[in-house]
Amino acid sequence: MMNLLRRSSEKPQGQVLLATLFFCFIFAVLFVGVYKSGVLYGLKERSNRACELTALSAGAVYANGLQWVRLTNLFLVTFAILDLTVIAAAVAAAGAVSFGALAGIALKSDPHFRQKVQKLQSLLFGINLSVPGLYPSLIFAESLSVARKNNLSDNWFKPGGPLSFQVPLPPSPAFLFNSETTSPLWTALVPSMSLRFRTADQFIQDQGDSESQKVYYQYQDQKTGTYHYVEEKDTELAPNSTNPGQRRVKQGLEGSGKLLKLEPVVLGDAEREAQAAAQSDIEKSGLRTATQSFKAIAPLLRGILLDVTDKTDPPDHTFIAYTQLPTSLPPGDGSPNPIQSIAEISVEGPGLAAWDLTAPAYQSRRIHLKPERLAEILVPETVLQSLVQSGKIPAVPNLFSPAAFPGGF
Amino acid sequence: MRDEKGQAMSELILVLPLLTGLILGLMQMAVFLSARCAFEYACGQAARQYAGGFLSDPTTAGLSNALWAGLGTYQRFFDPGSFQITPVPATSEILAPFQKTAGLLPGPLGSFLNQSAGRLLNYGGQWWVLRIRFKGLPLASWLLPQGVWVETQMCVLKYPFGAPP
Repeated sequence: MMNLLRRSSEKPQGQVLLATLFFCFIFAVLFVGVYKSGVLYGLKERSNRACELTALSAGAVYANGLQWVRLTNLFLVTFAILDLTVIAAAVAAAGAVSFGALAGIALKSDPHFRQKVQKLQSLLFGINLSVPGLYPSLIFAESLSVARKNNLSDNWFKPGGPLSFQVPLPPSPAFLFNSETTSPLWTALVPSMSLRFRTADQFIQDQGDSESQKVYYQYQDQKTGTYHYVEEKDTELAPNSTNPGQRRVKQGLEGSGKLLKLEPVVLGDAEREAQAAAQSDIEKSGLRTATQSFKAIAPLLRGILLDVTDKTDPPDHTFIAYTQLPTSLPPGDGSPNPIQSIAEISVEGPGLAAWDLTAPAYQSRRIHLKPERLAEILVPETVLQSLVQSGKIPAVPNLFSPAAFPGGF
Repeated sequence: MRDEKGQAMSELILVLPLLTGLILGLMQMAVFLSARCAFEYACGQAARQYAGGFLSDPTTAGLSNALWAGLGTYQRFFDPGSFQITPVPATSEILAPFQKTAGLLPGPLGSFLNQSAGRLLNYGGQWWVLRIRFKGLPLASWLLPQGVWVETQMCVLKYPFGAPP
């Protein structure tokens, strides 16, 4: 065969043939290269678009849900006023009796209408529940539906229909709710709206702590996972921030420009001792300030639930969609070759209180994600690490320790 | 013709149409793929504007205008008369069955429930199927006399869906 080729290449016809073959090869490579890169670019664009539209759709449903929060808060205030009216009527009817008896009558006559609204809010928005609330589940369902309509792959349901639900591993599409403030990361997969009930003691803390205790802020180093704490004097207002009052580390300091979260109370040992000594001096002298008197009843006030508010300060209502667009591109190893995309939105608005009902509606805004965020979310080790840290599965070195399996093998 | 130069020239004349066809075909394919990518991008931009409430006319006509504007310099490769948008309304999975049920109820009660649901679940959206004909490079239009149809579909929800609250 080789001899035949050599002999033919020595003749002019053979040389022409070889040159033609070489020419055809170059053009074929050019055609294939242009075709493949063009098709891939188009699919990448389609995948990114579908992922972003899914995230924006989730944002629309989320924003509608936050308007519901305002509406239910208005109901809550109305029912609280109704409760107070019933109590006031009962106290007035009792006539002039001692303070203790009046308190007893007030407690007995309280119809607790507001608690019924709070139970409804809890069920609706998944507050203090071990399962997702109704509305967060709706956000999930609508997002899944939009992902399907955008031709994205869905392994949450088998082809049989809506009753054929299964827990997919790994899920596609995967939705992360409020991932910035949810730890460990895998819990962000559970639909949530990052809400909580405001408690009565919160107002006392806001007033009293500013004088006696330092305010600290914190940020987390995304590479090492270490939390850094910063004093208020080392912070400044972040310009053009999406959250009003957002602070960042001052320029010229370590971690300058990092956006900060408010850390409720962080005291060093020396500060704690100094505070205890000062407290004891005050107690010895028999003096108690009004704030301290309120603090004494803080545990009692902590049990009094008020309206629904944001779980974190600043509020975190974000949604990340991680999706896969199935393609028929030949990967070379026979396995399907989907294109992965990730998109994040933030739902922002003025407030959730009852008096914000007529304020401008919440709106979702697209956030430009850095590519490393996709890797951070996708790397299975990250998820495994968060599972180990949360104690849901034992760490690898402890796997063979009897303590790792309290229930026995 | 009898000397070497003449022979080379006659060979070149023979090969030239094939070579021109190949080069133009390659360019045509590159432009087509690039234009398709631009079309996908323009569709996404128009849908994002729709979802964000930035379209002055949030109807199919408004979306169509935004999409055409988004094509920019690629407009010359598409046939504007061939542009088709098929909208599929009522994409909400929850609202649609509720409205269907409410529609079965007699007059005032059904319309009251329908309106209440519309106010509480004030999000909704569109699901579009979009088609347009790629004309191709003017120089190489003889390669694709009928053009190539480009088709895509997309779906997005927006809030508030109806009139601003």
